[in-house]
Amino acid sequence: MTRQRVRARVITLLVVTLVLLGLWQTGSGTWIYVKAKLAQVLLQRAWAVSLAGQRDVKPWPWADTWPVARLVVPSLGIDQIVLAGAHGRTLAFGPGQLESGSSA
Amino acid sequence: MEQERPNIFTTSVANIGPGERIIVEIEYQETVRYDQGTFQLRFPMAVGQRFISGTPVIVEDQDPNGSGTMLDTDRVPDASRITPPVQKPGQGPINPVSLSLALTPGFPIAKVESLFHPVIVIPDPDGGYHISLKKDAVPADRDFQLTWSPAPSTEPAATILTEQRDVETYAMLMLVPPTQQSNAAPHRPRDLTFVIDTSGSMAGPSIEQAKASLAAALTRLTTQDRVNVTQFNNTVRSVFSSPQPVTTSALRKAIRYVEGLSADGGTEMLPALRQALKSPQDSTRRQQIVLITDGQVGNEDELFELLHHRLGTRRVFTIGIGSTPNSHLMRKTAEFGRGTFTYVENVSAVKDKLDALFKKLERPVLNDIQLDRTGWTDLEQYPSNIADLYEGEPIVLALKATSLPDQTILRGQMGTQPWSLPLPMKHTTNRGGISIYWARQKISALMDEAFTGAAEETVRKGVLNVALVYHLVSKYTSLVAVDITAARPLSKPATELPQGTKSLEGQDKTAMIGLPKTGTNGQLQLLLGLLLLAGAALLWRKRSMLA
Repeated sequence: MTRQRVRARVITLLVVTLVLLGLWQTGSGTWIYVKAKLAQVLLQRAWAVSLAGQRDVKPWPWADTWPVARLVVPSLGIDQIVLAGAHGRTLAFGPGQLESGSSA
Repeated sequence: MEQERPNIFTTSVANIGPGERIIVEIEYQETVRYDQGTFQLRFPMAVGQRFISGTPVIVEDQDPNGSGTMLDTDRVPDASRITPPVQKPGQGPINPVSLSLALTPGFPIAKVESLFHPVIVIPDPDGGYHISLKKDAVPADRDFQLTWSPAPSTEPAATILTEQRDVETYAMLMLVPPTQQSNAAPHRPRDLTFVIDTSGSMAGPSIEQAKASLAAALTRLTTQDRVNVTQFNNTVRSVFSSPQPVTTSALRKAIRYVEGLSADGGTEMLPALRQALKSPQDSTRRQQIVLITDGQVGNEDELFELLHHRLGTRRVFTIGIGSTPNSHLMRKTAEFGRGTFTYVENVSAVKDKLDALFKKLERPVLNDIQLDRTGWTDLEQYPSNIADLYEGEPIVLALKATSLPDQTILRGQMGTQPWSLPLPMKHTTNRGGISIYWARQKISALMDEAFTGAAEETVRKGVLNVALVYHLVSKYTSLVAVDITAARPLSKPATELPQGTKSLEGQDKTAMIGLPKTGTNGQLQLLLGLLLLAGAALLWRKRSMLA
């Protein structure tokens, strides 16, 4: 009886750890998608402000990029805000404009 | 002469009459690259084929811009100017080039080598070298590359070259570090502050490698030293409020802090640098700030102004990582900070480059270098503040004066001991081009003044004065040549004869492709998380069955 209880306790502990680990992983995985969705909303808003005439509108206060164009390909279902600079951090949110490319 | 691209030029010669021979003389100046103990001179001899993108645009009653093989396109409107016809292989020599060089290294050198062309090297009695190609002429299908390295030495060596122009004498002084450093000179204690960019873009190999080499650098500190680590993304965080003496516990704390760094968020460099420059100055210590970033930072003026006012006796070293750091900003920051700039293009090489830099920083060969001004009249020196001398990096000074002493003295500090080097100047031969070098340095110093509070108009006037006297292209001047003799009867039409180039030997295609990329492990994390949860559910069922 006691041996069985010890086994049960070990399994409970294992289950709790697994659940916590699982929640952590799914949580941080989902977080990326949440950030991506939220960023698109903020980007669209920043683009709207840019269209109204302001320059270099940061979509969120600590962003180090800003929208430079909107890229739409209806036949492929693409509608993206192009960001200034093509670095890892801007590409995470959308297409980027290479600094070495033309600035026209 | 027109510049098509930074490395492609077109020389237009007006009219060449039948049977006429034309000599085009071009003079140019270039700073020789110094890297890993060798000097490198590259003489370009071929224009590589370029990929021309876009749709050809032809305007019917208008000639194309140039006579190249490609049509002008909407993306590259001058395509016909940068695509000379390429000759088919095996079509005999074209554009034969003969080459001879006079090399004045200014210090004893170990060896002179040409990488791609066999050469004959004849040493001169005054320390120079005459170099010519083994063959009379070679086809222009690859660049000529010459490398030379200084002979092994244990003491810094200096050399001076002069040019007399009108009443003024121009001089170029080069101080070369020893190839092997003696360990005799005592250490000066250091205050080392690492300022590391932990914005999202540093994620991945950049931050991992930077962390590893930072941790290694921390363990190399001695008990006399002090240390601090600051990280910045959208906020600035430091492990200590000011540099702390190195004790086991402080070091352990710093190392743990470095290991815990992770990259996320934006890039706000200015407050981080301000924080690092807050710690009290101490001229008896060597206060070094090492800035590691891959960032695009826009507020250059503020940054330079901050450094100008707050630097004092400290030194700032900048390290740029990845394909897109703002190199100009980082180089200037290091210049204002009287340190050096290291650029790491390849992310996998971050650790190697940083390790080498940190080792170098441990011990500058010389610091507080001064040129003795006795004997010089009206001396103008650029840069006015001489940087410290480190292993593997020579220092070059541009000087102008109305009269020169027979001998001048360089002074400095080697470790904690004073150091001086007398430099005889009597028998220097007259060289060309040094006045131009001086003028370039002066213009760049004037342009820098704009960052430190000088009015735009004063800067413009200063630059104009120098640029016009020395015929230099600058932000405010450009060159125009006017030829007024008509060589062709105006009624006769002119024909144009394009000159071909050879196709390049081993053109590197991979170097053209270097686009940044990105990725996320979000999917993997989701999958792993779900698997773990499923495992938990299975185990729970097993437990219920037990009970």
